[in-house]
Amino acid sequence: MRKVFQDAKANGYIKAFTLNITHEERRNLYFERDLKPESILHAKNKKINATIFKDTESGLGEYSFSLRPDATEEDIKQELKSAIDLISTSVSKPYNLPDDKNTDDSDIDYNLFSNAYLIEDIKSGNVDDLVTTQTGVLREMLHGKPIICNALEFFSKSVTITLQTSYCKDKTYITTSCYMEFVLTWQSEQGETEHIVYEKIDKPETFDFKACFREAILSVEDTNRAAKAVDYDGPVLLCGAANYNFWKPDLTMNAVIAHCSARLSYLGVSSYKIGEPAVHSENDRLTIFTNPLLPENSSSGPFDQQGVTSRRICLLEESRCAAFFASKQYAEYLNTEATGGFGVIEILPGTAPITRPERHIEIVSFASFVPDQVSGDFSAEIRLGYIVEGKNRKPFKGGLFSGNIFELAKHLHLNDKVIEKPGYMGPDMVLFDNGNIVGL
Amino acid sequence: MIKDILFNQLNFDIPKYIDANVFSEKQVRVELDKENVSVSKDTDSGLKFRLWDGDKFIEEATSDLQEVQKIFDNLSAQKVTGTHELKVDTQVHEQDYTPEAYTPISDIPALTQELKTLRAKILSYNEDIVNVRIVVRNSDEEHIFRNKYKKLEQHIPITVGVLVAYIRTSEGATKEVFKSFCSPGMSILEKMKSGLDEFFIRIEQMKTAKKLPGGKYKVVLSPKITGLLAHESFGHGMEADTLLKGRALASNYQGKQIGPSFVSIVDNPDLPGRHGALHFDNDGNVAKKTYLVKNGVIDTPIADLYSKSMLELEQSCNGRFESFDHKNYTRMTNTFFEEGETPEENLIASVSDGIYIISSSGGMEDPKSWGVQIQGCFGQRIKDGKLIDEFYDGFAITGFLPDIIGQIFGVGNNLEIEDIGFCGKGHKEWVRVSSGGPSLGIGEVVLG
Repeated sequence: MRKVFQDAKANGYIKAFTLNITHEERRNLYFERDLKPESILHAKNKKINATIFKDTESGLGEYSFSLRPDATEEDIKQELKSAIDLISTSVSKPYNLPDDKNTDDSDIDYNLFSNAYLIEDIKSGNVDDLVTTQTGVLREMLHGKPIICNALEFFSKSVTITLQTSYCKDKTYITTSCYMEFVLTWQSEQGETEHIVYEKIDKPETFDFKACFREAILSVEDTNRAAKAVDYDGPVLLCGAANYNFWKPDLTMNAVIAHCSARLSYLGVSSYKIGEPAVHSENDRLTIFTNPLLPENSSSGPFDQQGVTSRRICLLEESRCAAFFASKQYAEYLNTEATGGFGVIEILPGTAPITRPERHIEIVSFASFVPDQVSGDFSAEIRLGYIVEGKNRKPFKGGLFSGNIFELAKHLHLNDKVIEKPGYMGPDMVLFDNGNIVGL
Repeated sequence: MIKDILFNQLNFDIPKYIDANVFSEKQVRVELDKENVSVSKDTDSGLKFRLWDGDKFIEEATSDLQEVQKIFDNLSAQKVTGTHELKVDTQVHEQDYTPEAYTPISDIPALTQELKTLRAKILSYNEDIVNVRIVVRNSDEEHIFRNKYKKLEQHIPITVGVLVAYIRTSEGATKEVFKSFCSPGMSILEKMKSGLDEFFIRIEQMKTAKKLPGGKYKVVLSPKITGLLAHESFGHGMEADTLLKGRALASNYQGKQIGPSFVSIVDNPDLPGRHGALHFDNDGNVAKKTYLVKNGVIDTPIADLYSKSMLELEQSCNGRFESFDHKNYTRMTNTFFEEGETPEENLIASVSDGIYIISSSGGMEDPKSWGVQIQGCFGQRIKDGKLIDEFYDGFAITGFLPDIIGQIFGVGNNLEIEDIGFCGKGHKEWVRVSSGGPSLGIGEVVLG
């Protein structure tokens, strides 16, 4: 395959090329009511994505296309020809492709990015044993309680990512991850309530399943006796999944971090300027890194799609914009450095434990936290929270935690204890002085 | 070649249930952003076999079609250990569903030129627009389904257009104004052009939009948002796999009146050209309309093969996967309130003080508690039965769904199912669905 592209370059049809080859293997187990097995899925998916570059009159031509893994040499030549025919349509403002300095990875250990246990066990199917053991643990913990597990899904994945280019040496790494989702249902004569756990797991051999199950059992017990949310203005503490989702939402990006994008800056969408305050902090200040080199974290990766070596970069320092995360293209447009893969959001913790106000709201989980990454506005349904008054902690559910991330961040306190999760390493709790909850 | 292997070479006529799904999606994407134009072509394709072992499915998926025979042989050699039977439709059916006539996107340079003109027009509309992004994505989905009784093939052309304007407000904040379109092939361009006036109005409105004080409001929902309410409420709430797991409160309301008699909610994949359209699902069921709520009464769940079998339900066309290497779940298609008889202006006229909710960015289901979250809403104040120039954005709708549905006081006569949507099962397993419906008037909902 590569030779077809090399020949095209040698003959002057293209300036450069990249080939991103991913080979994914997954083993997923699905259980329905009371942990009855429903399905076992084993999947292998190989994808090849090619990008060609060519100087054109109006800028740098850059065209991407995918190739079937079983494509013949003739198929590839045909695809490449039609790509070359179209490349003058797909044009960017000129920029230089990564050079030796950008792609130098001599100091990076490529074994950092995967979990050896998972690579072997997905192939051999031994991940099933882990799940059998842990579902057994869960059954035991639920024994004698009015709680059943109504659904459980356990996904495990190993992906080999290879980059071949015309301008740097070949690079390959393996990344692995697991995901567990389960539902606990409290059954009583008055009705049923449930608590859902979405848990991304990067190191299954050290993950504390028992603690995870224990916490879920407590949560479903509290959900069962939870009152309806009432209107509230005042201090709001996020912890557990709510804290994690605030900093690393599933479907979008926290606006405070999204605005550190070189692309958004170049497009005029981000208002951040290097050295200037990104957040006008009046309490704890935010120091945020993007860290793509955190070992065995599924958000880590040693290079980006063009082969630029990943680096740990300080994006916000003491709430001031310190750098933008940038591909080679947008780094050049902004006259800054390309930073490689985005990686893990790393937030420096507070210097002391959070002092909980006498009266405050503590939120443990949201239905779905999807902030607007441009404006920072958000409004999220509360699945489980607590009204805390002194030593009393009364659960509630429903209602909306509503506000603007930039406004909230002006008055925040970061706990001094750090947790690491897939894509996040930072304080385990954050307290906002001026939170707003719309009750039911 | 793969069709020939599945339809003519592999023997599915064996005393155990095996089915096969071939999925291929060829996608062309054109994106304009500032001075950059990006064109890309992406293909995702592969095959999945499922064996029913009497208790559970054993599923093998691969992108390597050379492995088809080997996987089939391995699966068909496995023992059936359980005793539960699947409720498989045994009616023999062989059909190739070809798309209705449309003009495919073949001339990418011409399309790009048209989009450049469109972008320049939007950019020049107003100096507060800091950037405009346009995306057109044309995909051609091919599905082949095979089991002992069925040989089915379908091609589904889907073209989606998206306009995004980033505007600077007078307070110096940046906001995003978004509009999506769905129409097959080159017809997407006309759709996008004809939607420009509405897009410009939205830009003007968004510039002055404020934060809505949280509270209870009487509302009128525009057709752009009622599909999402139908989807999050009685769509997810009536999915048979959710019901099977005891995860939906709807099971307590089966056959009961939940809303006014003029309210009906349907799931209908048989609407070609809409974003959730299908001719058959990944369980081999042919498209048909299902009433989730009929005349205010909870009616029929939608189902996938497994849940249908366990709950002994009727067939529906809702067993779908994200791609060939994912599991089939019960999934919606085009889910919406059926059209009513009330003009939208009459719904608005009946509100003395409330909010006309124009659009939203998405939602989240909660079938067990029947809560709901529809976030990223944009709305306009209604005062004394008239829309006034007071706009709000970034708020959400929440509440107890039976209360919300029970308070519907009118259904519009303006059914529109034009918008695109993607539905997740929780936070994953994304499938395309449509968004839209008629306007709705609702007595009181919590906004914040």
